[in-house]
Amino acid sequence: MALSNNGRTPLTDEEIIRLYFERNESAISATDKKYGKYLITIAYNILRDKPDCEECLNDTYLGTWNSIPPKNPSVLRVFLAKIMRNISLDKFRERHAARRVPSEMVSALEELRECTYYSPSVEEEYLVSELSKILNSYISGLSERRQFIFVCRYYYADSISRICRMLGISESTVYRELSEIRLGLKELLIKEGYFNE
Amino acid sequence: MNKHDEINLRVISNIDEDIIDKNTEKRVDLFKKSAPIKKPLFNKRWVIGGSAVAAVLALIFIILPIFTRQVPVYQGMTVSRAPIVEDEDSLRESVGFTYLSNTEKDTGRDKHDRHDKESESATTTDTTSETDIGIKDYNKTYYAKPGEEVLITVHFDNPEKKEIISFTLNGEKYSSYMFEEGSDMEHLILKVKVGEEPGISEYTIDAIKYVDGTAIKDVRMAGDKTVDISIAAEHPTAELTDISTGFTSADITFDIKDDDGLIDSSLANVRAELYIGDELSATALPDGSTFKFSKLLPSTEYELRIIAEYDAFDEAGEKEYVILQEAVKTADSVGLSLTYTEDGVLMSTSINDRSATIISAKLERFGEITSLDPTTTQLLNYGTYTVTVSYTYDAGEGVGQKTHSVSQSISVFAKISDLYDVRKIYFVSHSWNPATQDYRAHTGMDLVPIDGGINVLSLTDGEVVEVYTDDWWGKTVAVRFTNVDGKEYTLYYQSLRGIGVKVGDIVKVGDKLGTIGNSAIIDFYSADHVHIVLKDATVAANDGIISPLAVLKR
Repeated sequence: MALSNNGRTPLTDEEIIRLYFERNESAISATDKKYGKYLITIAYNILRDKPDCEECLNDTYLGTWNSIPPKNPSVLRVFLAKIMRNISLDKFRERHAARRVPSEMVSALEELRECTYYSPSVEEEYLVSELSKILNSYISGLSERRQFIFVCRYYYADSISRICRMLGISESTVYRELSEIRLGLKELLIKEGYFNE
Repeated sequence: MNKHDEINLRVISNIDEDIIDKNTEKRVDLFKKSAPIKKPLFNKRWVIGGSAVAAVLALIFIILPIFTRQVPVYQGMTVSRAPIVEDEDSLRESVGFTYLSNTEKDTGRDKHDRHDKESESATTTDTTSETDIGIKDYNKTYYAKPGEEVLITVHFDNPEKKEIISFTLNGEKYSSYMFEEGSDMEHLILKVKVGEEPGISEYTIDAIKYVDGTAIKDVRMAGDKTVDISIAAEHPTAELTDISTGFTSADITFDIKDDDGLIDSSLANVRAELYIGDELSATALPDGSTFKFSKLLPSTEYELRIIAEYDAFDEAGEKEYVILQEAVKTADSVGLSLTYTEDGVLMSTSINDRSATIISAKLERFGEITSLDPTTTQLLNYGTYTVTVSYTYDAGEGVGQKTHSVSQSISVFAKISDLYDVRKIYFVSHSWNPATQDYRAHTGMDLVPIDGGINVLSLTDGEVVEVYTDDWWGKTVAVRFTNVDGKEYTLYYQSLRGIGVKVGDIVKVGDKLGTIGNSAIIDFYSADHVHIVLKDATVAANDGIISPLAVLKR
């Protein structure tokens, strides 16, 4: 099936997904045209290395090509963002073991370390499961803005300046919001008995 | 990546999909809206002109403000137990500030950074209030108990209220979410637990960061970076392990319990004092672990105080403390010793005091006075004596030598065998008595004068207190006497034929009391003898009757 537009304006998500289902390789270029830049920022937040980011982007497109079909994502950009993030994190783990990577992800992890819980004596899967429940319960109770700030900072490792540009607020406001979010999480973890005093 | 980060990544990745989806959509939208827009280039003239205008505008609105921008300035730290008050004026009154000028600072802290010249114009306050632990002096040492939680308030001059995001205290990083309630951008409050070890603990602040637009910058330092907290120690105590007192001397051995090592091990700052009432009478420095006092008053009750000088790391600083208070009394008698030998009784005089000298001793018995050589051991005859010993002692400066006399009674009894042969001894088991036709105990001794004599002679000095005829025991003479230990006894001479004394007579050892017989019905079938019975009035059992050999020598 040919592109239904003149090639200058991006296709809709439905049109792109149809191309995947038709196994038309132009699906990938269409995806790249519409979401390439966005996806690169996700990887760059985590990896801070252009060649690594491009490698992850290629892997993301390959992963998408292999997933659709049978998957039929309702929101393509969310689907792509998750794949890109997971691939970038894998690359981050691989690179971080070898040397320190001064990325936003490192700063974000540092911040999280100060307000979250870890104990080597607790079984890992159990710990992840319990902490995930607590975190989800906490995030659900946040305001829309705070929820957005939390997801941008810690899920996507966006920089403070990126977040404040997206929301149109000052950096000090973003810092303050993040401080209070982390304090609230820490207090909840203490209350649940999960904190190293 | 460490395990903690790995766990956090996994937990973050487990955020509900709904939340991620919703926020990702929003993120994509906002991302596109916030992306920089590429504008078409204008022609050169517009570019040059525009650049010039931009430069002027930048100078006015960007560069100039940078130089006039108020950078937060660190002023110093204070320590308190209670949270700070809300308004600044009250704050300044309540906890004071550690503004210090170079001239006021103790050079003992040279290793710390000095604040720059900017701070020389700062004022110094030294106010105290209920919220202060205690301010020793301008160097602002604070005082706490071991393990106490205190509040350290970090003060800034920050009129633009720039966000202070972190600093290190003793190398440990503190971020904004760790500040206590009540903190604001000019006064950050931190809760800190002081250590357990007594002494001065230093708390040094460094790497104070604030947010300036998009950058994180260092705060300017004007105040002292270090604050001292003095942790109080446990006061030492003392106990006495031995007290040896003489007439005018006292040797007092002590032990000091000082777990925190506040007292110098040489004991140079320790002394002992003796008081009579509130008046200081004598002082001694330690000789090893003993205080040796001389030239004291005899038979006097003193109050002993052991005093040590040390710094307990509390607000009092180095000062003297009384670590023991106890009563001590000097002796009130001369030590005399008696030794019974085959030849008689040996008596020696001695003074249990190193600063006294015996000058004379005498014996008095029934008004007869005999002088003794106090330096030799005397062999005493039997009898009850009053020994008087006179001695001199050094009563100290301003008084000089003093003379004192002490008297003591001693009794020297005759050995029974010197005057009598023993026919029957004291026993409590029962034997057949032909006179009473029954078994009974013999609660006395049967004696006959040596060499076949008939006279009953007194075995002790004493006073005749009773003369009577008993239904069972016949004619009886009772003599009361005092033993060497000062106790009174009564010796009954019974079954006599003749009586030669009356009540009230004072008798000496060897004086005749009567003659032997068998006037006791109980001894009817016995040959003439004297039956003696000893009574101790302090013994309740058996009517106070005890064996004569409990007091007399055989």
